[in-house]
Amino acid sequence: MNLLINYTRHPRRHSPLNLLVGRILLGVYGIWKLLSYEWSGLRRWPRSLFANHGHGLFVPWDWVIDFIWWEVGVACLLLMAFIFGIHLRWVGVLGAVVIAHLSGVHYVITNAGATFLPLVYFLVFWGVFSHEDEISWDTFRRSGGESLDALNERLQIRRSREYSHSVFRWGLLVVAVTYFFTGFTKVQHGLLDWATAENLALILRHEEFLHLNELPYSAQLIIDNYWLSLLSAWGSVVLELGLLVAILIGLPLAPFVLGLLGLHTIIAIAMHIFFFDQYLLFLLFVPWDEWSKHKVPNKTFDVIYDETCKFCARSLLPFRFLGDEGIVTFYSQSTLPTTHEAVRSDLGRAIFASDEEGEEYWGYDVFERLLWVIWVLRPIAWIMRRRLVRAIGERVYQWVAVNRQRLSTCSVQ
Amino acid sequence: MDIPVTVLVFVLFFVGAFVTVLLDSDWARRAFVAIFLLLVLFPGFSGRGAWPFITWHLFGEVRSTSLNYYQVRLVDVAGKEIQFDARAVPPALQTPIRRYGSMMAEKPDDPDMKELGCFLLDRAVEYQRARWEGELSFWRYVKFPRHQYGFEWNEVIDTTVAKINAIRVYEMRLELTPDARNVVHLLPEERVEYRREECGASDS
Repeated sequence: MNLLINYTRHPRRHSPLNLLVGRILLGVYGIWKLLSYEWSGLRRWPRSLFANHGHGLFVPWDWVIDFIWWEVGVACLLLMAFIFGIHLRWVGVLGAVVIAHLSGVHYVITNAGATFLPLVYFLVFWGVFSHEDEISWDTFRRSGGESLDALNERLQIRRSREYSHSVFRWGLLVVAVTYFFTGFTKVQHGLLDWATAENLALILRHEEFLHLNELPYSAQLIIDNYWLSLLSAWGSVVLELGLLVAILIGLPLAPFVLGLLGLHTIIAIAMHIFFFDQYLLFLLFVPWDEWSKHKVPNKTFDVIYDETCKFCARSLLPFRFLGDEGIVTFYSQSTLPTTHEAVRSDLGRAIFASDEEGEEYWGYDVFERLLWVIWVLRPIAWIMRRRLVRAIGERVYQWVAVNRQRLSTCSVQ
Repeated sequence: MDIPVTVLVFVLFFVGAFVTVLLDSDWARRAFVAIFLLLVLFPGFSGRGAWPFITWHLFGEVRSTSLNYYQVRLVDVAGKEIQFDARAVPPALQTPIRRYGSMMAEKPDDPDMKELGCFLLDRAVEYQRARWEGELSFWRYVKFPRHQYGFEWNEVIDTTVAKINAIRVYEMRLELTPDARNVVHLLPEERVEYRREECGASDS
């Protein structure tokens, strides 16, 4: 099993799960990063710095900075909607615009604002390719126009399908290009002059005098060891240029990505410059779908729902891929196997599930199980099992179950 | 980087993204991706970026044994000097402080630069007070990691440095041996000083 997927060469998967995991990862990362930055600090800086900067037009009026926390709030709300897949195409592009603006203003004071750019790129791609992302609120929303028969068929007939992952196809390429240019500029300045032990030692010493005031022990170690310095210098260039090459010609990505993350770690220790974002970004290309399947072997569920309830069928639609993968089999009254005959009369009250060991679940717990069976989403299932969350969730489920006629048009046979 | 170009790229890029979403067709998406890739590639090859596309040229220069740079220091009422900690002026990091030092050194009499110097000084005084009174927020432990840690004031500095009274920018001339192991010389030269009373501070 590969550690990382080369989406640029192989953009199709048999499961849409990685897009969901990517959305959660990217959304949580974005919100954490946005809330951590000291935006209110920007208000205190002299306004002349903004006016005289190339990004001056990002702050055409002073109040843009005075209200910057409101803009951060809007960005966080958009990212929340992004995580749940609510109007993804608009939320993706709009979120990218807002975060590009925020980081553009931030960049006036410090170039760390540039660390937001990969997030911006991914959000734009997500907006443009939102139709490929299936496990979302949008899937539920769009199914409102479908007939009940069509929905029942979509859920219950198992097909082997393929899902395009264009977001990751182009996102991976863009991430690799950014690394490529960090290597390219070293070649531009004369590779044989740059990739020397002496130059690397000078970089470390300069960093000491410019920003650190004292030389970290790890930096001293590299400077004192000629071969370690030389290896670090060449290693940096090879890894930075190599990732793009590996992606394009189809070499395994793991050595390059792990090498780059190692490089970031060494830079953090020896120079105190820390690109933590990169560790999270590369998680987007992990084969979560394969790992999930591997971690939950041969676990199967029967899920039985009321086929006369459109709302029920629609709310199961985002889990349809579990049916295609043979992990869950969806049944309703007309397809009910004799082993589950006893639950027929209760299906109007709640959805039902049973696992291969005969354990039975009703209503809210079925959705908790559906998430639990997707190994990578087990943290969410764990949260759903907490007493308070469960109490609220069950109430919500009851309310929805009672009001499902109003929530969606139902045909009762 | 021209201002109009930056804004033009920013606006056209995102308008293009919205139009692509609206058109919702494969050819529009293909065209958008092609333009996107060109916009990512152009700054790297040309060395000219426009937000949200930058050159990604990091640490490319070949270093020399001599280095000239600017250092921002603070002076306490007893005349003791201490290096500026960027944590006093979020969201800045150590690197931009050096850039601001060079800007102040180049135009010490410019009112904008005096405003900048007084701002840095004022915030450093405030940061020193917050450290003395133990007011640093607990939230710093759960925040997204800083991108640059660098030089940081510690308890020794808190106890040995008195109330800050002035800000100075030094031009530093560093000369290292070719193997970078030893310092030949490090010569500081004072270029700018702003004192609290010049900045209109009332309590100094």
